[in-house]
Amino acid sequence: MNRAPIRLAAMTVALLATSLVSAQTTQPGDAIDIEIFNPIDGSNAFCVAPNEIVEARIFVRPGTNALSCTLSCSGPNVPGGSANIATAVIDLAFDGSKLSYVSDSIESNAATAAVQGLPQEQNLVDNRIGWALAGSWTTPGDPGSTLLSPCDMQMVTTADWLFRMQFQAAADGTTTLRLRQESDSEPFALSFADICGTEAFKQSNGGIDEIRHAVVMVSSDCSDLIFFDNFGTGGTERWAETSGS
Amino acid sequence: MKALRLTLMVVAVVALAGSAAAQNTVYADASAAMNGTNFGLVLDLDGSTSNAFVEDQTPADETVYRASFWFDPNDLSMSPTNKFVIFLARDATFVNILRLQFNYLNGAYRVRLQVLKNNSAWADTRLNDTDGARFITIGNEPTWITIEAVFGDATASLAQVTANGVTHYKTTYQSTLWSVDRIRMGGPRMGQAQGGPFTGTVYFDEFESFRTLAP
Repeated sequence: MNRAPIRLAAMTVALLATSLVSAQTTQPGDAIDIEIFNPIDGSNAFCVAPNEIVEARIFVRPGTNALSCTLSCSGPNVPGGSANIATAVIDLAFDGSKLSYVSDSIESNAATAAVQGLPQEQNLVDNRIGWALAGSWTTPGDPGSTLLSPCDMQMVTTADWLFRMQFQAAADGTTTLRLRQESDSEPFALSFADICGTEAFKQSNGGIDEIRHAVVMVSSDCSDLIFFDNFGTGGTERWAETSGS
Repeated sequence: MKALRLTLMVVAVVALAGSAAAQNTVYADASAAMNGTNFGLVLDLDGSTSNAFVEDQTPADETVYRASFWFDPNDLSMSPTNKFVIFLARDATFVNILRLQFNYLNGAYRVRLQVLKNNSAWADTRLNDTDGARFITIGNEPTWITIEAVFGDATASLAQVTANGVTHYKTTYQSTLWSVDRIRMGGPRMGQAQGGPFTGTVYFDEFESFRTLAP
């Protein structure tokens, strides 16, 4: 019996059932949050059997700081602030010995500018995959068209996932999907910007205040798994309690 | 006289402040990374007796429980027979039911698993169930440790620890009263440590737990 259709149907049902899950671990606030999350349960953790496919998504929660400004191209009250993200630069690192890249796609919600973002696959050879938003195209999703005027462009104004990636699991063990950031030994300019400010929203200026990496376990025993952590997020937040910290 | 009293008070306040600040700590850090990870967990011992641990509350009255993790003594200074708990499982009423002790003797680091019986006495796992060595020697290096337990009657009960390819176990005891509801890793019982004070760091990494025994 060919189980592929059944598996695909089950996966589709699971994804549909969980598309309503919004159990992200970051909290709303003035600053922007970014997470790598598991669409099955909203957590920042995955367990996958060897050779199976795991899907991770990048979620961005705009801040609550809404302001407006006047641009030369239009009248007053162009929306800005952390609540109205106009550009973004995101990069994710993975361990190529545990996970091999399969595919990526952008969010399909036409109500947000997320559809305008472009995958950045040029660094896959270095086990990195990115997503960037530089503005809105006149033809949504078509970088061959021209850029809309900043006054006309859509923006990321809603907390939602923007980008998804699929990886195939390889060797048993744990690994981390890590959002690269300014404080890394090899710094990356993780940042967002509105169209009113002169400086991008970054960790160093408080414009981004919560970043959640994800941990991945490759195991044949996922159905019996209780808990795991490789501290790959750089913290102990996956544990219910930490005493003496 | 007043000057002397003031001096004594200042000394006392400073001493109190010092003791209040002293505590063992746990934190994630790259220095504790093992097996190719980016970070691990550091148990940083400052000579005090405060508990320091991470706690997982995911277990739900597990009668079969398995946990594995990397552990590195990291050259911790210990005197012979010194001992403290590095892993502890508790039931839903916070009774300690399974513990892994870290010990030092004759120039070697060692670990021993103990399980609580229905009569509230601790039973040792041993090389041959009821006889043989109680402690497993580990090196001053990363060691993969697996702890397994089945809580049940005398025909089902099992406590087992494997490190460096050596397994110690205990069977044929009553443990029907217990099940795993939460676990602590690090230094969860430093107040009850034998010997010390302990100053230095030990490392943990890649913790994983299952509700089955090892395949």
